[in-house]
Amino acid sequence: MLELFKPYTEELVKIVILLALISLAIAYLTWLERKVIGHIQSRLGPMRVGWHGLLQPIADGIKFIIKEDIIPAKADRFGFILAPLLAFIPAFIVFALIPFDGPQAFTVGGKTYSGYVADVDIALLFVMAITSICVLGLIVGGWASNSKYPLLGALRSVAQLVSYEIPMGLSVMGVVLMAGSLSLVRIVQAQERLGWWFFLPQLVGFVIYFICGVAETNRNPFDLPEAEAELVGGYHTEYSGFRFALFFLAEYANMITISAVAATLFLGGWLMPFPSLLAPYLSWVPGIVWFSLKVFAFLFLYLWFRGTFPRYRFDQLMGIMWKILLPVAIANILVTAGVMLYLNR
Amino acid sequence: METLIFWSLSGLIVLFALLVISAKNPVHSAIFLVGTLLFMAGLYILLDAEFIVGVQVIVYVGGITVLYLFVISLIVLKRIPLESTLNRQWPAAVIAGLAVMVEVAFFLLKGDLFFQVFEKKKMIYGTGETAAIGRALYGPYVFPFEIATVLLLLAIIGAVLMSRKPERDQTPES
Repeated sequence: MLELFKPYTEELVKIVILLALISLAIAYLTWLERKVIGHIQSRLGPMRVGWHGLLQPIADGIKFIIKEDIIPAKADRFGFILAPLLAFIPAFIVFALIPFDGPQAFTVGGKTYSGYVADVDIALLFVMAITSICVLGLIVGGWASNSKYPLLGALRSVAQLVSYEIPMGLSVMGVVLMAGSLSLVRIVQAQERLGWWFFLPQLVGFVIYFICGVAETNRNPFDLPEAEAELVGGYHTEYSGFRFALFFLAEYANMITISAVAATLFLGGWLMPFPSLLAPYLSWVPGIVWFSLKVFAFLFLYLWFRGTFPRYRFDQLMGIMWKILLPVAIANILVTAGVMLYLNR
Repeated sequence: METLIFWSLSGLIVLFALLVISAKNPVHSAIFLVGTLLFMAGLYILLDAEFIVGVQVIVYVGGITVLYLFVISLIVLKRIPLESTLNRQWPAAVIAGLAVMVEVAFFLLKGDLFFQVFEKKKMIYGTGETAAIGRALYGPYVFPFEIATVLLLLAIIGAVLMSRKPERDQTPES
């Protein structure tokens, strides 16, 4: 049996490293969120556990694990147990498709390895497909809790997530048209050839993508599904302990995914900014550092949004999507296709 | 390796399909249906039909089953008497199932022509699977493709019309 997996050693090692890194990143994203929100509101945020609260995520993690695992008596056990996994597993699978670095990222023992697990021809479509599975976790969890607030929260989440997937899918089509490929690696390489990152020619698509990304991850100002004033806590109200932690991890993993895809599609992925200016001095910096910086910038934007904007009303939320984002995204495709046709004549 | 994956996927598809029809709770059925559809996507991966995999997951798993669940979870299940999954219709179902099986077997044994046509198409539209589908849809099949879009638009408008309340002079909700 082990022999069968031998050709996939490289991928397996990468997957293990990736899982560890992403889990760590999520843990420290929660710390960063509390710190940033704290300072926006003239507070200090977590300060007690470790220097400036640096060990807080680890303490939180231990707390999640040792808490009692409660399944409500009236809940549907099968759905209740399955739902967090349905949300959690796809959120982590996506990272296999994201190019953290180029095809020749690093050399170990004379052999060159790439900075991604898999370069699939239609990686972008796969990312969209796998993130769309996460929705199932929310609705099953909300239904299986057998309680009013989780069900209402789940219905809101699903309506929101399914709707915002449409303009999101359309907004990235401009990039696909310009790059001529759905492979994330080749999209970055196309940006390298062009010399421009796609966020400049595709500014409209970029803005729409990020707005939809914020809505897709249920974050402020689109965090209606967990509007605590109306719904207690949304689809995961009845969850506690480690099952809640899985939903929580999935949400933060999705934030990182959206940011990573945005960085890949619009900000040149692992490429260096201003190569003609900076290349003589900074060519020793590995691509994954640039990529991480870009992802971090998007994540900071998420936190900044949360500290700044009030929440939308539900009808406003749907209005923005159907009346503004969708028509603009379609217009963006038409204009991009027209310009591409004109240039390639 | 490939045969191992194929047979385990096929087994799981059949198992989950059986679970779909044997589960008493419709939500559980929908969850098992997701399993069936995902494992089918796995079979498409084995066939190198990557585009179909993506579309299968987006449309069936992320779209249709989510809508199923959306509707089912709104129904209070206790009010519906849970019927036995084997009701009076089972003889008809057996006949229909056998007919489909015979049909599939017939095409598998005699349907060389069909597969030859498929191979020919593959040669015309190139090997890049996603690009080939695009070229076919916007090339010779552009007319049926556009007709399908018009049909879908009609269905959407029809659904909106049907879901609207008939009364004109409705007092706006406060």
